[in-house]
Amino acid sequence: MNTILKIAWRNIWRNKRRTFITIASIMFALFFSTIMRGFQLGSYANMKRNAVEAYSGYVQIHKKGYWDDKNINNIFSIDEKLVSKLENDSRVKVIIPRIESFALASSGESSKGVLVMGVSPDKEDKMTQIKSYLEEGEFISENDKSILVAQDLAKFLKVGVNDSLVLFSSGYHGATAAGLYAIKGIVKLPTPEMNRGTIYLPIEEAKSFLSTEGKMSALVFDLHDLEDADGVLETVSANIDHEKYEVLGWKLMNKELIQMIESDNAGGIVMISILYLVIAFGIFGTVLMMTNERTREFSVMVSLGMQKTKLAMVVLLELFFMTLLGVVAGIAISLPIMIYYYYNPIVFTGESVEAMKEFNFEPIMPMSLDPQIFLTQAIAISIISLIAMSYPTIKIMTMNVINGLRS
Amino acid sequence: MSIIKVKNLTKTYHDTEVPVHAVNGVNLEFKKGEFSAIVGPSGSGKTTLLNMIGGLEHPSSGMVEVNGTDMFELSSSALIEFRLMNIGFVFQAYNLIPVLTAKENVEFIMQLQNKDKKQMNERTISLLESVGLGDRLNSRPNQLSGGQQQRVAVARALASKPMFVLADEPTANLDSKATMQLLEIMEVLNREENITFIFATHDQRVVDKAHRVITIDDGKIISDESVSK
Ligand SMILES: Nc1ncnc2c1ncn2[C@@H]1O[C@H](COP(=O)(O)OP(=O)(O)O)[C@@H](O)[C@H]1O
Ligand SMILES: [Mg+2]
Repeated sequence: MNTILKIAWRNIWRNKRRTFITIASIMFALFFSTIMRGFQLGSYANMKRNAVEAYSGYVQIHKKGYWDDKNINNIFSIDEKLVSKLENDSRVKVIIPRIESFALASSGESSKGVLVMGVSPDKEDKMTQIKSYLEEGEFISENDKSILVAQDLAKFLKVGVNDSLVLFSSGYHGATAAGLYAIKGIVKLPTPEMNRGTIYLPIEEAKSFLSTEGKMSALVFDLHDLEDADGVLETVSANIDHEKYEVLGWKLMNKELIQMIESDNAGGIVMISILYLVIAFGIFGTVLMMTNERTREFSVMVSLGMQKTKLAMVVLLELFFMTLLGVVAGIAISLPIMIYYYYNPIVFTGESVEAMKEFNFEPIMPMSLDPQIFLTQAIAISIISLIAMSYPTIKIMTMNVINGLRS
Repeated sequence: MSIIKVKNLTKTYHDTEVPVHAVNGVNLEFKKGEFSAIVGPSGSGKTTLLNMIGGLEHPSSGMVEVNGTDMFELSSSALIEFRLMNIGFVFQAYNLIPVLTAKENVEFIMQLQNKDKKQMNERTISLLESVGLGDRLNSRPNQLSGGQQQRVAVARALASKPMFVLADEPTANLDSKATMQLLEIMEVLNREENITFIFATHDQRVVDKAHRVITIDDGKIISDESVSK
């Protein structure tokens, strides 16, 4: 075995130039693919987290039919004991009640249709970290009768802290809803769409503004870990009356985002596949030369009494060493860069920012360090090498020593 | 007692327009300790005959028995193992594994035989000393002259303690001095250790050293003479 390793290792340095080119091509393939996948997966995770934490949460309970018809009449109340039981589930971070309704916000000068979110300020903050988005003024508290206005909306309505807005809406069962609210704070929300048209109101005030008789439109679950989302969804599902309520998971509530991510992801995989196809041809070329230029040598070794399987092992080890060196070198150069961008995500500036906001993207590109990225790329390269290995293996197993000796 | 029995051996190549009878009905026996040369002009069938005796090439008909074993009855991997344990080979050129040193080339055979490490080391050094290369143990083949390479090949052929050594034109690429050196070494090994050598050659200097000269032409043995020295 020792000798086989030694022969293989020395063989790869017989043609240094070719070996370097082969290793370098594997290295660059790995470098580009891990960096590209790192940015892609980092962005996806960020988009998912933004979507979930900024708005949908991981699971929501509504009155049956609410999601398809977000009508103020589709509100509900639920057994408090069930809610506290679910809140005691160790996977659940917080359960947030909300009332959502559309309203017309008017500053006297201009008006705009907005989403009014009646929230429990402290609980809402636990999930959305809305406090950290405060740009001006102060955060609202449970018993306030004042509001938070999203930054772009405030700009549009030309209002600031301590100014007032009039909200008009239609309340529960057709009740008229109108109110004058002082602006306590301005928040800069993470998704551009929300930042253009959201107003936060303490939930008790929202209930009275919309005459909901204590009912709410959604109970939003925030979890400690995305991995638990499906499990919690099941638990909640098992505990409620499906005649009266509906339970939705984050994937269903963010369908468009998931679809967008899937198609972008597929694009990335196609690009990497093309890259690997090119690399594969390089590896095949090397293997072809490596095998064919040594037919005499192989014949001598088998003539002397070396089993063909052992000889094939030598050549396989050569390819294995080259692949391993390429993979290790590739990861060695990409990892520091990926770690850097993991801690310092790219923040876009300039013209692209507006376009991204237009499509509801946060203009940053974070990096993912998910070990799966490296594993997947290493496996892809290994599969290419394995396929390439079939050539020398077949060649050696079927070779006729006489032809080699006479050449 | 004969260690090699060649019976009615023929090899016909059909891959040419007219079939070539490279070896045509050869009967031969070799005894332990013989120092024989198979001679004949180029194309007469020497290499083909030697390759069949070495179990490298299958005959069209006839058989080769080595120490009672009909080699061509063996499975292909058993035949490789049989060669490893019983037959030493010296080819015309490019015999050595290029990435291994002289010492490693000799050891290679014993490693394939799973020999004990210490025993292997001692034997390798004494073999390389006996071919006059005790000071070139760590040289790679490309650092050795053609003659030195052939001497390493002889040492390697003996490493496995084979029943006999086959050498196909071992001196073809060597100058006179290297040829004489190589021949003397093989002669000494034959005389002092009773090693059986069979050469294929058309080199007169080799023929002159041989104790038995088998002449072949058109695949047929035309004479088989023992030469008293
Ligand atoms: N693979 C082959 N196919 C066809 N003819 C061959 C093949 N190998 C050898 N021969 C022919 O067999 C004859 C004997 O060749 P060989 O044994 O090499 O002779 P020598 O070693 O005496 O020069 C030659 O005519 C050669 O051309
Ligand atoms: Mg010949």
